[in-house]
This record gives sequence, C-alpha cells and structure tokens, in this order.
Amino acid sequence: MEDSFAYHSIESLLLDDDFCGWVRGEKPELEEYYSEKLKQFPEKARIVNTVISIISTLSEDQQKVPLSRKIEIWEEATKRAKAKKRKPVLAQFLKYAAVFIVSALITAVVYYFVDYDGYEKYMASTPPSVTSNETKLILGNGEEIEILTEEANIIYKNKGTQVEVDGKEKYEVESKGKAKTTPTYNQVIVPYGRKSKIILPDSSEVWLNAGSRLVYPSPFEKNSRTLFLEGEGFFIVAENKEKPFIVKTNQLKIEALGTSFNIKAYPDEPTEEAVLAEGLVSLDFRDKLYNNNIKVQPNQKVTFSKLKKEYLVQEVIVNDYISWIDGMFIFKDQSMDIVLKRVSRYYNIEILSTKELAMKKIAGKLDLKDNYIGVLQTLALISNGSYSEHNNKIYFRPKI
Amino acid sequence: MLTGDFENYLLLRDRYIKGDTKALAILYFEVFDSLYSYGTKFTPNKEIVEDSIQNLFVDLLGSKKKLAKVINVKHYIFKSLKYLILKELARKNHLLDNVDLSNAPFLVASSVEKSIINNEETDSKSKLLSLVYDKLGKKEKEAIYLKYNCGFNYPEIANILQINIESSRTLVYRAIKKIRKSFDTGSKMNVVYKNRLSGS
Repeated sequence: MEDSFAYHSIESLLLDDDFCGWVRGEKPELEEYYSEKLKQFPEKARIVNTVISIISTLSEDQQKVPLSRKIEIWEEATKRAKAKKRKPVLAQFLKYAAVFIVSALITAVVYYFVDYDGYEKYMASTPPSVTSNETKLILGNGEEIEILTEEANIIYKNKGTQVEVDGKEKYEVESKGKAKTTPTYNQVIVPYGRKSKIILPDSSEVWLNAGSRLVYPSPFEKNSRTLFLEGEGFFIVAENKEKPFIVKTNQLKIEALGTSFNIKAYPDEPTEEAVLAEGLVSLDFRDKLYNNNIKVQPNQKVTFSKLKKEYLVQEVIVNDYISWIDGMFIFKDQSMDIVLKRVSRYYNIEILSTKELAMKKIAGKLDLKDNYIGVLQTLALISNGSYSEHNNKIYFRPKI
Repeated sequence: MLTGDFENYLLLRDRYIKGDTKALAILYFEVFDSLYSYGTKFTPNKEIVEDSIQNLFVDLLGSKKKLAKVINVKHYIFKSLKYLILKELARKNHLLDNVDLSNAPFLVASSVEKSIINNEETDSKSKLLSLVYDKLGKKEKEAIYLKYNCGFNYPEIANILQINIESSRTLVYRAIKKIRKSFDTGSKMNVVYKNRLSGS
C-alpha cells in the first residue's frame, strides 16, 4: 500500500489536525508514528520543518499578564461570586414569586376588563404579519390568497359574497351551502414594505399601511360593521346610520357613522393614535378600567399611552397623519426612534441607531416613493447624523 | 505551554463540580494567558478584556449546574468570553444590535506590534506574524488564530464563528494558502535581515 505521507504538501500538513497536534506537543501518542515517517521519507524533512516553523510562528502571539494581576482578578471574582450567592435563595424566590403574581394579575385584569371577542381569538390563531413577504388575503372559507403587487387592491362585491383582487381574479368569500352560525372572518395581512387598499362589503374604503392586519366578517354582521386593526389604517366610512362602523384595536374602540379617520396601533410602538379627518367619531378605551367615551372632533388627535394608560387630545394638521397614503411621511417634534421604526417598516429594512440619536426630536418630510437610500440621506441630514450599511443593516450614528 | 489540553480542563471541571474548589482556580490560571490573548483581539481596551474574564468566572463560580452541562469546557470558556466582550463593546457604543459572533473584528496584527519586546528574534517573528496576518480577512484571522494558537478543531471553530463546519474548513484552507505565500516572502525577508545583522 502506498503511504499518503509521501504526498503531503505544506498546505495539507497544515490542515492535518493530527500532525499539527503532534507539532504542538498535544499528541504524544503520535510521537513514534511521526518520527518513523520522517525516517522513512527523509525528502519530506524540508517541508516538515517549514510547517513546524509556520505553526510555531502562528502560536507565538501570546500576551502575558503578570501573575499578581491574575491573582487580583481571581480574588475579586470569588468575592463577587460569594456575594451573589449569599443573597439569593429567599430574595430570588420572592423575585420570581412577585413576577408571577403580577403577571397573573395582569392577565386576569385584562381578561376581566377587556371585552375579548372572536377577533382576538381569530387573530391569535393566524400568523403575524411580519412572517410573510407578500400581502395576504385570507377568506372566510380558509382560502389564502397571496398578492404580489406593491399596493394590493382588494374589492368586495355582491354584498360581500365575492372579492376581486387587483381588478382581475374573483373569489367566492364563503363555501356555499354552509349554515351561518358564527361570523366567519376575512383578514388582510400587509407585510413590511407593502401597502393595500380595500373596499369593504358596505363600500367603505380602507388603506392599510405596511406591517398591518385587518380582520372583519364578510358580509358584515346584522347590526354593526365591526373590524379589528393591528397596525395603521385610514378609513373612509360609507354612511349607514343603522349599522355603526366600529374599529377595535388592542387598546381602543372607535365608533363612527359616516366619516374618515386614521388609526395607528402598532404592537411595537408605545402609543396608539386616532386622528379624525371628517365627521364625528366616539372613541373609547377597551380596558373598562379606563372607560371614557371621548367625542373626537375633526382635526383632533387622540394619543393613548399603553404603559401609562393616559390619553391626550391635540389639535393637529390631519394631512401630516394621512400623507403615508400618497407615499409621504410628515413628522413634527417626533423622536428619531419612531421615525426610523416607520421607515424600517415601510421599506422592510433593519435600522439600528445609537441611543443618543434615537432620542432626538426631529421634524421633516420624507418622500417614501424615493428609494430608501434617498430617504436615509434626508434623515441623516435632518438628524445631523450619519448612516452606514453593513450586512443588510443600516446603522445611524451621530455625526463625528 | 499555553495550550488547552481539553481533557485536562474536563478533569478540572469534574473535580470542581464534585466539590474541589481549587480545581476551578487551577483551570483559571492555566487558561488565563491564552484566553486573555484571544480577548485582546476584539478590543485594544485591556480593561474590558480583564473585566469580561472576571465576569465569566464569577458566572462559572456561581453555577456548578451550568458548568456540569458543558461538554467542551475550553470551547465554552472561549466562546463565552467572546460573547461577553462583544456585548460590552455593543453596550459602550449604544448599539441596539444583538451580539453577532459571526461578524467580529479581529485585531491580530496590531496587537502583535504592540507586544514587541526588544529582542531581535521575537522582533523578526512578530514582523513575520503581522505580515502573515495582514493578508487575511477578519474571519480568516480568527479561524487561524483559533486553530493554531488555541488548538480548536473545525467543529469548534465553526461554532465560535457561527458558520457551518464545511465553511470553517474552507476558511482555514483559503487562509493557509495565503499564509504559505506570505511565509515564503517573509522567510526570504527574514534571511536578508539576518544576513545584514551578521554582516555588520
């Protein structure tokens, strides 16, 4: 049998774990084997010597720390470990117990005070919007339709029994002949980077912004038109005094007769917002502890803080809040962090920022029809920062 | 010398878990220099490296249970240190990013230059080492360092770099081809250098 050792090159020896281990003195059991090989193939001596000198050069790089310093670090470590150990048992138990009680309490409170209904249950049973890259329409019969266009156009026809997507395909909303007991929900899921426009069975219109979900029965229920929104949507409600139009979000419940308004309720933002463009809406908080029927006038914005459970009513310029429909994003006295979140949602790109810059309040106008580079440049200018792109992530830092 | 005798570390770990408190101290002093050198490749800030080693051992001292589950002690210690240092660096830079083990800077050549001692042989070796490392990408540097300086094998290197095992082989292979080239030029340079010394 031929010996593979004869074919070794510098490279292949460097790659050979056994040989390297032997050179490094970690494999004494191979001592005999290799000295035998070297005797057998004296012509390999030059190569072997080169490899040994490469390995010894590569493993030369060793920082030495004085022993006294090592001892200091070790003693401090043992001290800290002891201090850590002594406290716990009871303290740690109490900590966990407290967390458990509080979270159990919150869950109980939420279940007791928020009128959970079929919507939440349905939402929980379907995947969140961020997991797909395409806009999705899920019909009452369970059929899922993927829509590949940037701005999906979804129109309900024939009193909500049929739906048309992007002016072409038509789908039956429900399976035929099924007895109707509970309402069956339809859902539109708009991923990051997309938008969608929906004409509902009652011919009300909804624009959905990137990263949003809208759930509604089709046809609507007998005595109301109730929808559930996560994310941002602008609604133009068709008048129908007998059937109030109700939009529920995680925290809010907005009831309208015939009007237009914008709602923003992203799970990852600290507030939910409703802005009224026309007409009159009444707004309520879903948590019964904070029941407070507010009549919102045109050009008013209601902001509800999820954490503080407080709300604020302000006069605003409505256009600033609905300009996203036309691909414009206008903000005033907004923290950079929220602006970056929205840009990141809109273009479906990951953006990170230093805390310092994220806290900064900025004002400006972004044309989202631009490609994202233009928008990032404008943002850097407005915030007096700079950005860099690395591994598909955008990093914002203060200008140096 | 420095290098990790894996079994030795495992034995020390087992002794420690069974109640021999000195065993972890032995492990600490044995691994320190090698661990410290590795740490300085991610930051020139020695305080961060020392603090991270301390934090790592506070953690190990704190939970025998965690340590008992570790199969490869040396690998666990090195990977943890890298993670702790990168986390601390991210914290200092206020980066909201998660720690990304696969994309860390690796500052071999520069730290070598700093550690030059006034000794001709070490000096020329350091020069050679910088020359060798300068041609490599940061991942290649780290892979080579882990393999030849710390004695890790491909699966361990792959895990520390968060790449697959095949990629770790390719990485080392590519690096070795480059090293061989620069070593050829380097040793020629070395010879010239030495001749001049003896000539003068």
